[in-house]
Amino acid sequence: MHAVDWAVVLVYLAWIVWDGLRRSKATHEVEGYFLANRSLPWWAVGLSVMATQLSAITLVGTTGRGYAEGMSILQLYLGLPVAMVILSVTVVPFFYRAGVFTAYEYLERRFDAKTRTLASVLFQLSRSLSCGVVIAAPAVILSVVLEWNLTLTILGIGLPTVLYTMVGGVQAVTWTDVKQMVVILGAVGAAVGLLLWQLPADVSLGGALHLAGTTGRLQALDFQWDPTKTYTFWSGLIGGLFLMLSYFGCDQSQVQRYLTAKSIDDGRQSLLMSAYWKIPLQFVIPLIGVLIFVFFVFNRPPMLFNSQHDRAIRASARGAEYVALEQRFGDAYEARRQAALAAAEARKRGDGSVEAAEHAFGRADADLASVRTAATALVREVSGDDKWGDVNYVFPSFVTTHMPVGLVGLIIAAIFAAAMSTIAAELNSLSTATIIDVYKRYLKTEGSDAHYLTASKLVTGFWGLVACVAAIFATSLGPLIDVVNRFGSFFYGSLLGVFALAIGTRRATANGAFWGGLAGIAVVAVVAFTTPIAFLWHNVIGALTVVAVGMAVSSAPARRRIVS
Amino acid sequence: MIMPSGNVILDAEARRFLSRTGVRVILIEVVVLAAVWLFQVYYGR
Repeated sequence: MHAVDWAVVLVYLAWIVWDGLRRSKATHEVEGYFLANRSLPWWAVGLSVMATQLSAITLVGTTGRGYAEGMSILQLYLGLPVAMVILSVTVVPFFYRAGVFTAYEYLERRFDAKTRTLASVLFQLSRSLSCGVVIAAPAVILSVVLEWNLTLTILGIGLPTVLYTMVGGVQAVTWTDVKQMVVILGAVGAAVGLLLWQLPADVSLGGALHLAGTTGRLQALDFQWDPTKTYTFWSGLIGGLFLMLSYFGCDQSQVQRYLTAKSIDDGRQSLLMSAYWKIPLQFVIPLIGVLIFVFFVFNRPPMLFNSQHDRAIRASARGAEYVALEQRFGDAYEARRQAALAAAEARKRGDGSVEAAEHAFGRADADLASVRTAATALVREVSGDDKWGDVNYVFPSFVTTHMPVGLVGLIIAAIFAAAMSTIAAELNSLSTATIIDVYKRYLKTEGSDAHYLTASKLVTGFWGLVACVAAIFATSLGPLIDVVNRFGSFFYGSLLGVFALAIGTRRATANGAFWGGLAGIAVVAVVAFTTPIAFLWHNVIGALTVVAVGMAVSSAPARRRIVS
Repeated sequence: MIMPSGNVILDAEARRFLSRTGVRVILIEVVVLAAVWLFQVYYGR
C-alpha cells in the first residue's frame, strides 16, 4: 500500500480514537456511560443505528455478492421500514418510559428473573462470539489482499475500538459512529463515481447496465414463492420483517442506541432514518459489485480474487491444471469482451440486432463463469475446504489494484470504520447487559455509582479482549464462524417471541415465556439442521413457536386449577 | 397507553403516528420498490 494510503488510514484511526477518548469528559456516572443521560439528538442516534448495522462483512460481502450474483441481497431489507414503524409505536415509547438500561430488564418486571437472565445471557453469548467474527472477517480479507500480518490486523481493528469504547462509553460510540458513517458514505460515493468514470468511452452507463442486466445481475426482486431460496421478495418482506423486529427491538446492541435519544420522538426519528435510507443504501452497495463486474467485462479480471490461494494452487501438484484453466479463462474473457463491445454497439445503433448481440454476450459470460467455477472446484479439492469461495475478496482486491492512491486509503479506512462502529456498539451493549442484568442484579446489588462506573469500564475492556481472542481463534476455526452465525439465527426469532408475549398479551406467564423461549430455540435448531428452509424463515418459525408454546404453557396451570 | 400487565394499547398519539408517519413510510417504500422493479425490468433481459 502506498504511503499516502497508509497516511489516510492512520489519520482516520487517530481521529476516531481521539474523538472517542475526549467523550470521556461527559461520562461521570453509569447512566451517562451507558445511556448518555438520554440526551443525544435523533440524527446522531440514527446514524449510529445505521453504522452499527452496517458491518465490514456487509460492506465487503455485499459488494462481492453484487459482483458474483447481483442485487438479490437487497430483499433482505424489505421488511425493515415496516419493522421500524411497528417498533416506533411499541418498544420505543415502552422502553423509554420504563426507564430501563437493557431490553431484558423489562422481562423481569413483566415475567421473572429467570426469563430476563435467559434472554440476557443468550444475548451476551451470541454477541461476544459474533463480535469476534465481526473483527476476524475483514481482518482475514485485508491481511490477504494487503499482505498484512493477520494477528496485527485483528489487533489494529480491535484495540483502538476497545480503547475508546472502554473510556468514552456510549457517547464515544455514538459520536464516532457518526463520523464513521460519513467515512463509509464518502467511500461508497467515491467508489461509485470512480467506477462510472472508468467505463470505456464508447460504452454509456445505460449500455453498461444493460450488459449487467443481460446476465441477470440486476434482478433485485424475485417474486418466486420458494422457502428454500435465501433471498426472495417474500422471505425479505415477511422473514425480514421478523428479523428486523428482533434485531432493532430486542437486541441490546440496537436498543441501546435509541435509549440514548433525548425524547421518545427523537428515538422514533432515529429509527425512521433507517426506514427511509436503508433500502436506497443497500441498493447502492451491491450496485458497486455490479459495476465492478462491468469494469471487469472490459478489463481482464483475475481468475481467482484471493491471491494467497492463487499462489498456493500454482505451487501445488495440480498447478499445471490450474495454468491450463487460466489459459481457457483468458480466451473466454477475450470472447466476452468482444461480445460486450458488439452488444454495446448494437444498442447504440438501436437496430434489431440488439437482442441477438446481448444473448451472445450472455452466453460468453456463462462460458467465462464456467471456467471460474472449474477453478473454484480445483481449489476446493486441493485445499479440502468444500465451502471455499472468494466473493468477499472481490471489492478489496479491486480497490487495491485499480483505484488511485488516496482513494485506496479512504476505502480501507471505510472497511475499518464499518467494522469498528459495529464492534463498539456491541462491546458497549455487552457491558451494559453484564453489569445491569448480571453484576448489579446478582453479584453486587448495593454499590455506589462510581463503583458501577469503574466496573462497567473494566467489563467493556474484558469483552473487548474476549472479542479479540475469539477473532484470532475464529480465523483458524472456519466452521466455528458458521456455528456462531447459526446460533444467532436460532436465538433471534425466539427472543422476538418472548417480547411479543411480554408486550402483546396479559395472559402470558413467566413459565410460558421461559419454556416458550427454549422451545423456540430448539425448534429452529431442528429446522435449521434437518430442512432446507432458508434462514430468514427461521425467525418467523422461532417467534411463532415461542408464542404458541408460551400461550399453551401459560394456560396450563389455569386448567389444572379448574380440574382440581 | 402501556398497561401494568405489559399490554400496549395504541393511544391517540400512537394512532396519529401510524396514520401519518407510518402511512408515509409505507408509501415511500412502495414507490422505492416500484422504482427498483422498473429498473430491473428496463435493464434486465
